[in-house]
Amino acid sequence: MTRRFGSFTALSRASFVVRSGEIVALLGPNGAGKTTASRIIAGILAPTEGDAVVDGLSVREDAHRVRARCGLVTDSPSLYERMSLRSYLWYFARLYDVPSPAARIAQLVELMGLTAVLDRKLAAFSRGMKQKAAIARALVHEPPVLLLDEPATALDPEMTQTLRELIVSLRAQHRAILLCTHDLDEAQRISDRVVIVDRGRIVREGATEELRSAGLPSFRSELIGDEAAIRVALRAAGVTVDGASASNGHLELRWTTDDPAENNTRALRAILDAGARVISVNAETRSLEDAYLAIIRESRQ
Amino acid sequence: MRKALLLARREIIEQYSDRGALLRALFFVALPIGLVLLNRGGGSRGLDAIILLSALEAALLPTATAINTAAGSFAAEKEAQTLVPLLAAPIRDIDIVAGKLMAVLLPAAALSAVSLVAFDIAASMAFGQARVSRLLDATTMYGLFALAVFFTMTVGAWVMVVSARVGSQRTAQQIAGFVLGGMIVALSTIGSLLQNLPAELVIGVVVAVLASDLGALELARRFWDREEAVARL
Repeated sequence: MTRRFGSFTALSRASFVVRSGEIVALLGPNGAGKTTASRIIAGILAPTEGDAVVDGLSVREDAHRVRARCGLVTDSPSLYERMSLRSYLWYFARLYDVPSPAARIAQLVELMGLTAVLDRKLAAFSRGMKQKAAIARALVHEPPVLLLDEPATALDPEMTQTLRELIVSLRAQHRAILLCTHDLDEAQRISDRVVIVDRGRIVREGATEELRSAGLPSFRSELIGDEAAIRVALRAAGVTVDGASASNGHLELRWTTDDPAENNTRALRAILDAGARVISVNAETRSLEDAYLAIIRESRQ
Repeated sequence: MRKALLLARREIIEQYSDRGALLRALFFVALPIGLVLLNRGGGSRGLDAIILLSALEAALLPTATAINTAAGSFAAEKEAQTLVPLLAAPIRDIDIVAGKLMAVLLPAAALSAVSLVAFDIAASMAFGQARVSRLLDATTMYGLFALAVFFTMTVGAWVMVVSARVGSQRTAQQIAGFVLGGMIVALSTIGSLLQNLPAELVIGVVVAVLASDLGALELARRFWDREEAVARL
């Protein structure tokens, strides 16, 4: 899908899949096109070119029915604050043609832990409770597709954890969940796959773990010895040092290798032959943040 | 239509859950009654004219406040971003526009009816039932009520266009005030001209106003279109 606003291209030939029972994180910096993508999929914004297919329905041809299949949560709760939670959910249940609104509302408030405040005005809710109410609204018609656009913005850590558990439980109910975020920690914790978008283009897509471990495995060793002699020995052993730092008489070296079994053995032998003492050798795990930043840098180059 | 009514119901409750809006509406209902009761002088013919003019005010003033409140509420919805969940719901654009117009029209019509009846009772008590019944017979009362509804529809449609374009509640209310003022001047001018115009031209004026209504509604529908609204959020 492509979406232009006048001469500005917000999204350019973006294509990805979110399957049921899967959480896909759409990652990207501010203004990358994440919100535009979620709004196209939600059926509230038509693509300028291309199409989005939601539960077998084309957004371009059947936006009305697509909207009935999606639940959308935005970064701001966007509630009618003069209404009570009960009347607010009842209103949206009727808009979505929910057959038994009362039963569904009771079920939802139980799930979200909002039963005690069902008849309280939304204006009196805390930020976290408002966001829960917004999620309840998005779930009121039991949509098979859930679009979460920065849902944890401004939530405290406890509420963020509750939200995370809720999202994971919704995946277990076989919903397709698209999580638009720039919170990489959140994405790393719960997403099955990651789609990285920058300046309207998709620059990488893959399983979260694959993306994290992409690139050559990296190792870090802490040593005591002469740096110059160790470097010479490692070069002779065919191991290229990517980074080094020294503090309190301890030397830290980093290297990458495509064959750890062979090259790490050679590296350690060379280090010991150079008269150094080895304190530790660790495999470095790349965080999603490292991978994301590397991918964004690469795409901009 | 069911969803339009649902939307209208929510909007009306939202508008009038504010005590200030209720007080404003009551003030505009009471104002013509107060004015006519204070104007006891001016001779028999002068008093007849004052009663008629105050009856016109009784019909139109409450609609003006309803329109102003509505103008604010449309823009408020954009300000609070509550439009996104609404646009994400399976509701057609025409239902959104119809619902919002009904939310302007229904309270305005109800207030106008209440105001007219209250004015009729107060004027009858002050000036005698015979005189007021002669001046404000059933046809005149229905005519004034129809005028109020028609006036609300015209101004409401144009205010919706304005409200869809501006970003803040305050701006919407200020511009709505100008639209209202312009409409009152236009209405007065048309009223005085109609007395001397031939029937064909009177029909022509009515058709022109209706065409303006339809144009405004179509513009409002386009501006409330999801594409437009979402692009402006």
